[in-house]
Amino acid sequence: MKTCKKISKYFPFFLNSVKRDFFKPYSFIGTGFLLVICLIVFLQLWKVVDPEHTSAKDRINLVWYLAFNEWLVLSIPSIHNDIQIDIVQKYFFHRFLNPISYLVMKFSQATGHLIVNLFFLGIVSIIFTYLFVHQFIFNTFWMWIFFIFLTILSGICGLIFQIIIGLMGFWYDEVVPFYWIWEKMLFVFGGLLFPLNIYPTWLKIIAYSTPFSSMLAIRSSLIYEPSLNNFLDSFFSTISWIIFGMIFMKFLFYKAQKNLLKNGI
Amino acid sequence: MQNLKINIGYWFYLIKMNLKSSFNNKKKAFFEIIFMLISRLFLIAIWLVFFNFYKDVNGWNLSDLSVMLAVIAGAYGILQIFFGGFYKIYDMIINGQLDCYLIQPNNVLWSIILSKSYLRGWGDILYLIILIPLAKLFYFKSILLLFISVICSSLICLSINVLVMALGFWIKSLGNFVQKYYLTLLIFCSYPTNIYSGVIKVLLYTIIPAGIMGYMPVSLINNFSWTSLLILVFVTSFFVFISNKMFNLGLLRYVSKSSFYRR
Repeated sequence: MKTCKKISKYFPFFLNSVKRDFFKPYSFIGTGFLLVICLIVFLQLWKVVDPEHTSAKDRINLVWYLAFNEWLVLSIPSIHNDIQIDIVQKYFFHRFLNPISYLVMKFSQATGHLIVNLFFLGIVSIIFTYLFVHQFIFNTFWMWIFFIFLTILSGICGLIFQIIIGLMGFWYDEVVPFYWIWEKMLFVFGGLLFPLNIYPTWLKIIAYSTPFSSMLAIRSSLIYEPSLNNFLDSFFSTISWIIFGMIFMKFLFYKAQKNLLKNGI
Repeated sequence: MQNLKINIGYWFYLIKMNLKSSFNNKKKAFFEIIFMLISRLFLIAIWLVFFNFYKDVNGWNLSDLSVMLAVIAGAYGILQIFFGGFYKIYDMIINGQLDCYLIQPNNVLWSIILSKSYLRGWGDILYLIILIPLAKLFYFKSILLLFISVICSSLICLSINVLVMALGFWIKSLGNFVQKYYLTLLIFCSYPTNIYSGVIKVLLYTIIPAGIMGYMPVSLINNFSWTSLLILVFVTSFFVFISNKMFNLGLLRYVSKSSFYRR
């Protein structure tokens, strides 16, 4: 009961972000356009790569795989920038006096943005991918539900790690360089551009032991093999990374707070 | 002639001061450059894996792609280091902040373009150096051609972005289109430019000149001919000329907001 009350305190932040973004669908035109551009590039690339050894079915699955990966990556809001601005502009400090947690507030707001981004960009990616390949993926309604649920979880996992990047602002002037690395690691270890099955074994092992593959590759592998086993595999690996990320985020914030209270601004 | 001499002197001074100020904080500089380099190395790692599995992409192998990536990295690096001011052109037009440049006896566009230097560009230059052996550019002639291609690509990228941003003089609600256009150009430049066909290919040689920035330099370096070099130089001059004209034309429609603006 107490936990519910605690969580409900942050619900207005979430709702506010959802409302604000939902009624500005035109702001998604640019990102939607970028998503379509990425799809075109991938489509063209895989059209010319090894056409003799890849079946039509594999090619269609691959386009859906890439579309769903790009959908998630473009939907995660740049929360690290917001947090850095808050730290640089000292906005953060008066939050100490408020009876709410800065971290949870930011997380609630960002989750609101994420949900609306996923909604609009999901429509764009599904429509355009279908137009490009003329074939749907997943035969059952429930598979779609499971997949969307996993996508939201993966988005939350991404958000938590981006909050961690933002919190680096307490120690470094610029957090963007950390984001560059994060983004590129998502490309490589997440299998954003190419599925992980083309990787050499040693790289596959590294990739599967990072949160990136849970967010993208493992989740999107449901397209190739939509089974309960794969769903559970993706669900548990994402959840474990979320828990790890939350603990680390809390620890960093605690360290930063302690530092501030000891040394001042 | 005298005017041009003053302008060039001023531009060199601006570049010198920008470079000095950007390296003011040595720790931050080192941090940014290294992180940019690492993030770029991840990109080439992806392609190494890819070419390990598939031997070529429509006739392009790893060294062809490395040439293209080297040209694009160099172009992007030069853009960041020397022409970093171009990022703010659109915002300055929309917010009416060009006043302090208009009262100077120098070329307005180039004064803005050269007014900022970003350290991360050095990371791209280091990346370019790392790519040279991968691109198998071991001879002086190839390095010279790479250098020319890098300069041309950076000028084309700069000009086309200035052209898009100058639209802000006429259309006030371009919003994030400017940023998305820049990203689109970068996306197209990050993949082999020979994979496209039909309408997209036409677009890549006109509205989104990723083909000129990526494909032309590769064919120039691999199969050198004076004609292709002249075409590249001519196209670059054309883009620079058009962007200058467009910006100066737009300046006639500029509306100041009389706002105080710290440069």
